[in-house]
Amino acid sequence: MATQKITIEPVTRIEGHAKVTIHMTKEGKVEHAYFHVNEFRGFEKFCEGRMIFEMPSITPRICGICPVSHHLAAAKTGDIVMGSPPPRTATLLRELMHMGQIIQSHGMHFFELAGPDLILGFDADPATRNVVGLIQADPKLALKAVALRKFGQEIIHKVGDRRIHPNFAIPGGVNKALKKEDRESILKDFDEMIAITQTGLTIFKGWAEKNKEDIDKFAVFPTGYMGLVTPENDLELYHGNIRMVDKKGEELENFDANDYLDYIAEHVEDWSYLKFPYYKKMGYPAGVYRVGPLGRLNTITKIDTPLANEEFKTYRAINNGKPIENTLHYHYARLIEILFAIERVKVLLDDPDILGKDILNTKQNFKGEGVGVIEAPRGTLFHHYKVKENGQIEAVNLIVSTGHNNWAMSKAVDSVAKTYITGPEIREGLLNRVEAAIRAHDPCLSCSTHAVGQMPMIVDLFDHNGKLTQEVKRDF
Amino acid sequence: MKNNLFIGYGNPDRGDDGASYHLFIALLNDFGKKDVDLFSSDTTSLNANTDILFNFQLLPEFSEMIGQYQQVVFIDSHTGDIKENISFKSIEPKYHYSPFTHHFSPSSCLAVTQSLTGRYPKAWLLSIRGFQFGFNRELSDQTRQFVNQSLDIIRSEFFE
Repeated sequence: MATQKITIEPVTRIEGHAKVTIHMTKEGKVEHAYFHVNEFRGFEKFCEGRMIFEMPSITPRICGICPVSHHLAAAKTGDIVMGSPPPRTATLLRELMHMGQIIQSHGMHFFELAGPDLILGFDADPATRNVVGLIQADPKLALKAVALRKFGQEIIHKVGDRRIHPNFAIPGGVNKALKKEDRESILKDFDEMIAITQTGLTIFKGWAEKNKEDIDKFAVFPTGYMGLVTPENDLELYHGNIRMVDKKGEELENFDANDYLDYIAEHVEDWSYLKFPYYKKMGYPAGVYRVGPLGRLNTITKIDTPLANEEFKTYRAINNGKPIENTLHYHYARLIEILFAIERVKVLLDDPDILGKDILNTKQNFKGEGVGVIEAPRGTLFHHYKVKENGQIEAVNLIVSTGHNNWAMSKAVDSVAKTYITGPEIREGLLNRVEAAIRAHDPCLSCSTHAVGQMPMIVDLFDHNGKLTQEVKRDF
Repeated sequence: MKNNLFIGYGNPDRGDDGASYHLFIALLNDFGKKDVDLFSSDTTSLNANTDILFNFQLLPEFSEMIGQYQQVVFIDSHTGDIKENISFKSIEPKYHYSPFTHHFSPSSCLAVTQSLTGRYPKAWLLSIRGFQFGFNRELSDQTRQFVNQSLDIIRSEFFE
């Protein structure tokens, strides 16, 4: 069959290279669409030979978007490798910093990346379908969005004493206790942040009610799901066992992160440099799964903070208690997680141990190998180190959140392209839907570096002979 | 209202992407400010009229801060798709759409400032050609030279 190929390519400099190709038939129908990632994986090699205690400082260099997640995952791995479990106060403080990261990252995603699509519409003029258009449409809401993100950022700053490049968590604990005045300063904004998040939830639910038809046909497909859980299978973002459930929500596994290689394998496709993780026992592609907000909320049975749990009940009722398969509900799940994270901040700050001074365990029982896991904003993040007795790193393996969702992102692109693109003329609004399918997962593709002029969006159209017939470039 | 804000961004652990970081260290040295931790504070004052701010990336909340200055200079690295080794150009508010990721440009920052505050400062983008972006904290020889030349531009444009 004669085909035409369309490429959507945000060209990035280092690890980001990702693009979408849409292969069309001569008749103008989508034959297949792919999401390709050329991820730079030199980082593991870079770590070899470094000292284990350096890892919490080195690994945040991977990512400017979620350095805290790598920082904490590295410290957690160090705890295990060095056989040095942190004191309770240190664990509370690390989790507090992590909640700050969740709030700021999720807040930015909902209000600034996804919000314009939802509030202004997928087909709105791209010149105004952005945060500036949002400000013009609803200035008060925009200010709230900025305040929410700032709140999360301030938690990170107050706990870690640094805005960027955290130098806080170390194997065995943390190196700074929380000041009483910082605790109070964070707490004073609690009510306002809850209210802002509830405003976001109201916006999303109002939009969802009006756009149910879109939600029900926009990248809806079954997969397995994975996330950290508490011993009661409640939502857990900092520390717990990993739970995997199948497409019906039935538990497949509940395991310690150190055993991840028994359950997760990675498949290679010749059209993407990023591997495709899957549940080993089911094989590929039957064992593919999703992580991140939608994956996590499909993995749990409840949330142990009251406001988030109430919202979670409404959320789970959408599919009568079964896993939610709709990609656009990533946004709903993300908002529920913000609510949880804010409530969790208060729980942590109300714990008397949060102001404790016992923050570092200096006793060690060297193990030599360990796996640290954390729920980064966009999904489960694994750090796995093998270390020599002198503390030098021998080997590093990282499975990052975006990797777990690789299959799902490509499937979402394929599904949306087939659903919405039906002719040779492709409107901008339709391409925006394809991009939105990726955005919903909040991938981290190119975050460590941001050079000028590096991220144009290129749409290439190829004829059935592979000849470039048209190039459309969105200027950055 | 203060006069000048210099915002440098990039990853100093990725070679030449940290050009603005190295430029700031030299600038702080000019003002006799040593041992400043650019990762800790929001802004660092060079003198009564000028502050500097360094971050991995531009963030929406900077837009509020930017509105408190008369002039802002964004400092970044660039690769081969900008012809000049050093590009110093005035910029205007214009939102740049980021299809997939958390990416925020200087013009976007200004556009948000304008939308939030009704005004925006006079602004420039100073970008410096980079060549090596691997995991290290050193600048390439060429970029180091361009950083020094960029410093001269800043000194002559804003401090003489």
